[in-house]
Amino acid sequence: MNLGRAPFGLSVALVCTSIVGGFVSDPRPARPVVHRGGYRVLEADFHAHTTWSDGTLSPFAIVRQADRRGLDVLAVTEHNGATAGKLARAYASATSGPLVLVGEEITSARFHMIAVGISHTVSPEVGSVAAVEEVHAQGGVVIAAHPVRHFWPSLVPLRARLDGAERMHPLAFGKREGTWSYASMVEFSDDAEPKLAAIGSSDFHAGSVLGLCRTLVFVKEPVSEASVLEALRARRTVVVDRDGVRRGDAKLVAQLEKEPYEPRTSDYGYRGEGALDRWTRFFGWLGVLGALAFAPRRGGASPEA
Amino acid sequence: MALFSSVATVTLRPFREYEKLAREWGADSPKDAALRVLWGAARLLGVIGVFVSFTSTGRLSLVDLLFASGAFSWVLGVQAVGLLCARAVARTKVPYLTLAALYLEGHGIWLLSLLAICAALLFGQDSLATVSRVAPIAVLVAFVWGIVVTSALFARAADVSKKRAAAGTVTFYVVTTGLVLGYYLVLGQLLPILPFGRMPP
Repeated sequence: MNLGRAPFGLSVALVCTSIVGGFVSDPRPARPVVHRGGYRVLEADFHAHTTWSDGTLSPFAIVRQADRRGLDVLAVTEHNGATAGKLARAYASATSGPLVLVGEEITSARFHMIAVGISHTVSPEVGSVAAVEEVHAQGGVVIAAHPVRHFWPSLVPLRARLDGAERMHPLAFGKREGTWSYASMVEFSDDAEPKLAAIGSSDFHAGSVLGLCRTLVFVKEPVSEASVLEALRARRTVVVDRDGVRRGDAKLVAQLEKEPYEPRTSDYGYRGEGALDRWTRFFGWLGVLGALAFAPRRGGASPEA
Repeated sequence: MALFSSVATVTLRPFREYEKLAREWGADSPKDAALRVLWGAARLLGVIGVFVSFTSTGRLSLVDLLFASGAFSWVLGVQAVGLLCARAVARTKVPYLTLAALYLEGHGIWLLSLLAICAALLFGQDSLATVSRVAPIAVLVAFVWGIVVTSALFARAADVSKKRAAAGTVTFYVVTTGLVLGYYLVLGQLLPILPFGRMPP
């Protein structure tokens, strides 16, 4: 080997080592069957985006990521479109992945609403009331997406028609105040009458936050898309807020006080599990950098060579 | 500098290196130029795949890497069209494939920027706090230096006047930006990515 190519060869070897290490260390948390209060407990994320719009994971990769993050149920909710959800559902069915529901984030300047369990796209242009009716007509449920004060002029008059509202969201960990405050999001749910299903969602776009905020859904068996939607309509959900307090259906919250249930993966997964995992992550990063810096020049002698 | 790749040297000294590369690659056959384009494209998609794999899983996962590379292949299409228009406006006689191969050597700063964000996530004490500080700076530096590098491509490798080189550079960015925004507009996705009415990160 030409001495000049040794750094490149070493870099490629580091990348290969990292890929092998990544394959060996890639976790798939067990999803044990758990019951509380006579219902099957499922962990769900009802708000996630893909490369179809402004996310970084393809509709296929997001199913793998949901599996990796220990989610039982995932709703793929692309902005103003249901196609990504359909692709993700097909992939999940073919690979025995988590239960994937076709969804959409119906998005306009005045409101953002999550539709879950739909069969085709609902346009935001029909208006908020008609959009909710159309989702219900398709057999789906409607969840207020991050209902901060900014969206109240449209969402508050609609509240009685909604099925749920995001009560926990990554906004909870930020410092936004005013019309985008987490406090106003909580207020939207707390003031709802009748009560809405409490939803915890990651609003996933990129990184490792999928399932960081999640919903515990208490479904009747057998588990299916219909049973999850039925549970949402019946408001049988619980979320854990940023202070570790359980919110949602009062009976189920009381049940979890007696017989606690801790949701699965909740960290970002950037730290590595064990020496092999940590080192192969570092090797991978270093190897890619080295491969870029030392890739051999192809063809034509370099004037400096 | 012979130890370093052309993508590294173009990133560090774009004007001088593009002049050298244009001389070296100017006599390439179409087949050689096509191979260079394929290599440059694979490198770009590979690093995007690495970025997505690291930021979503913390690891290099081959399947996720391949999925991400495929899902972001539209980036190459956008750049190809942008370069085609820019070449026409600059009226350069450099063959398209050679120009494309040279252009792909100029991605270094963007690739470095993606790796910097990965490093912030993987090695920062508080991953999200670190990345929120690093990412805006990395992207801004990449964007500004990326324009300088593209200018260098047209100024030194395209063999045209300064005026035409500038027109080519501007055309490239107008077309690529327009295509991306147009894509989101057609799919009804433009509103969510604009500042108003969108949830901040």
